[in-house]
Amino acid sequence: MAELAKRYEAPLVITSPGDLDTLVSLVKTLEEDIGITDLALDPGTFTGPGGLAYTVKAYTWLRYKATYDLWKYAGYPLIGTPISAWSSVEGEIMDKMWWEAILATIL
Amino acid sequence: MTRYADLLIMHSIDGWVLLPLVMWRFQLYTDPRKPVAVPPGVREIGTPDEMSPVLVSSNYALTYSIVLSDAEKSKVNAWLVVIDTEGLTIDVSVAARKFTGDKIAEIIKSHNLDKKIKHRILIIPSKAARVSGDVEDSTGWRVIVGPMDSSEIGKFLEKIWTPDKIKEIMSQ
Repeated sequence: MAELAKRYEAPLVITSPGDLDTLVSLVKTLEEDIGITDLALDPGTFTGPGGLAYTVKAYTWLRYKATYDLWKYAGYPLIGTPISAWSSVEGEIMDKMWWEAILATIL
Repeated sequence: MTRYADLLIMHSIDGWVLLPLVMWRFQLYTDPRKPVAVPPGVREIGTPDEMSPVLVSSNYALTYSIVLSDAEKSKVNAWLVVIDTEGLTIDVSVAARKFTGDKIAEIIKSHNLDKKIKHRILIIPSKAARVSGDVEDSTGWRVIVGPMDSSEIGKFLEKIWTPDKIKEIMSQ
């Protein structure tokens, strides 16, 4: 993927749902070893017990590290995927849409 | 879309799902009586040293970010003193007496600018030219009235910030 993105000068999205350490270590590798700086990060968007809390925490940490600690590995655009509610929420369609709306407004 | 994500991927397009998002985007929940402000203090533009110019600005978020980005674009090294004008722009805060020498003196004192900087020159926006005397009185620093528009900061500093000129101003 990294080679493709580099060859065609395309932006690359790094996703690592539920694991911020992997996310930033991927950023580090891509930025320093391969030289791609056109990145966007997706730390994952979750529902269910602990899911919302984790989501808010992950996004907050990324922004916090980037703005207060000026940590460049976290300083990339973030992508949110409220669409994940459609696979993670059980039940009626209305419930899925409801959780999608909640996730979207939080982010 | 207001704090965290720069891009959202969604599946629903129903009005009631998207409405709260649109509300956030329009900032319908911000208080219009309270202007958006940044915390007062001293910011570094580039890598300033003890002989870098000291610019003064208000803490209205737009004024601040425009001044900062203009100064950064012109690749100058400077100190930016942001004073607490309660979120008002320069001309308004001068008229409302929020842009005063005392406030600048306070920041200079609380951030030890006396020790960090060798020269004693402040550059204030030209819309605050009216209070230049007041600023000189309460800070004890020399005041130069800067450009009308922050986009001219680069050219202005090029012209005014040379070792000879600094000496000339300080000896006045």
